[in-house]
Amino acid sequence: MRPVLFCCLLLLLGCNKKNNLPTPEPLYQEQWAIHYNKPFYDAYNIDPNAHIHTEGVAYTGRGIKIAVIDIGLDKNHPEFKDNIIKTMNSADGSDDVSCQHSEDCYHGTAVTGIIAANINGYGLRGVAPNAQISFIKLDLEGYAGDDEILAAFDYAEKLDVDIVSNSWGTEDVSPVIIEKINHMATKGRDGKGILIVFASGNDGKEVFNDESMLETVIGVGATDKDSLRAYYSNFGTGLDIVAPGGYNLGITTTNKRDDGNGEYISAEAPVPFIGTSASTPLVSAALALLLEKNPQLTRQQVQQRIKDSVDKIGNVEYIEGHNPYYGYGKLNVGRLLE
Amino acid sequence: MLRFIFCLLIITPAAFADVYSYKGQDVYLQKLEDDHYLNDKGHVVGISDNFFIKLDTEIAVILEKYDLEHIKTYSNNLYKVQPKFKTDVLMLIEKVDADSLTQYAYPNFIKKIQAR
Repeated sequence: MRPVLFCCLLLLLGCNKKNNLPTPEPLYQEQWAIHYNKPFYDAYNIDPNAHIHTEGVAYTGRGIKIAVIDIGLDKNHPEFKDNIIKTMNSADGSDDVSCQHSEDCYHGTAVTGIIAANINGYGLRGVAPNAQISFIKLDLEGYAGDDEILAAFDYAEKLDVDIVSNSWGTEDVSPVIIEKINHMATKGRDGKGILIVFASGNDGKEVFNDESMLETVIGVGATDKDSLRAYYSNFGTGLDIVAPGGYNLGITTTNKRDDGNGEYISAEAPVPFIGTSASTPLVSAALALLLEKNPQLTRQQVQQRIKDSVDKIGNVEYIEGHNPYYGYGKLNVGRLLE
Repeated sequence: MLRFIFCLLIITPAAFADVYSYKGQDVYLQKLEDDHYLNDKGHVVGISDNFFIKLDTEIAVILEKYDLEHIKTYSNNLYKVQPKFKTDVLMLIEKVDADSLTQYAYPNFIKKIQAR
């Protein structure tokens, strides 16, 4: 009997590999932001189109380098430790990206998990599980000098990354930083332009002189389980795209393991991971899949692909394709990769 | 009386404002009690004692001319420098910014930054 069972198991594994089906991740069923799961959607009364349509996508971000700039990282988290190729602390130039003594210390680990959590049979899956991550620590608690922000971008540029994912902002971006961002978005990636993605923020207000509103930046707002703009999502004429950021129901992701709350943050956690911070890595990871499929796309061509592939949600008017609350619309990964 | 109050409202912010010039345009900063400033966009910022300069020329010329110390080089001819002696950094930035040898000089603002 045992050899028969063993053979069946081998067959099953073989089928999985042949059909490129993902290994079932225990938390995958609750990752409502990236795919439709009927029992979970029914249980939480989620709009059937609240997700970003990743089902059937064969790309995994292989060969694409993403810089994540954030407060700190649990770099040995088993979900993505093999994806981390570099770490850098923008304050002192060291490779120490650990974070202590801040209630936001989980933040960089949560962002990174959304992008790169591996398909490994436990936990969850990221949208780009094979992307290479360079993590750059920037102190996001309180005040930071433009020199630290500049150092973070300078490092990302030197590492020749394809995408920079930023779940933070200042609402007061200096000309020196604007120049740096524009330079990278134009000259980086051998002249094709680095894709720089920024969260718009969670204050429910219009923002103006913010990193997310720059023309060369892909500014990201948040949607909720009803597939509408989340009430807290900042807006403005420079907003490009929205993606799930959650509200009552959060975005399932990885947690900093030594904070006493476990390895993961569940969608149903008492303190879930919500906000444009969660929406931004979904967009960054989706763009990694797009660059894996077509590495020659320029930043401008990617911005056009976003405009052409998004879902026009929200029962609002889009003037020349744009609405300040929704940008050009909601991320649809399937259509982005068509 | 109303005219007097109106004049006061106009004059008061200017009287307590620092100003520096960036690419020929005046930028106003209102000094607050705790060595911070309120900028023209309504945000509270700090000003570091170092600043940025962008050059078309060799940095050594500028360092010598303004008694500056070179702190860090960024890509694209951008540098962080610091005065060797205690000085009003905004006034110095204005002078360096107006120098034909520089593309610009700009303060290293310390600003509120937030995870989102």
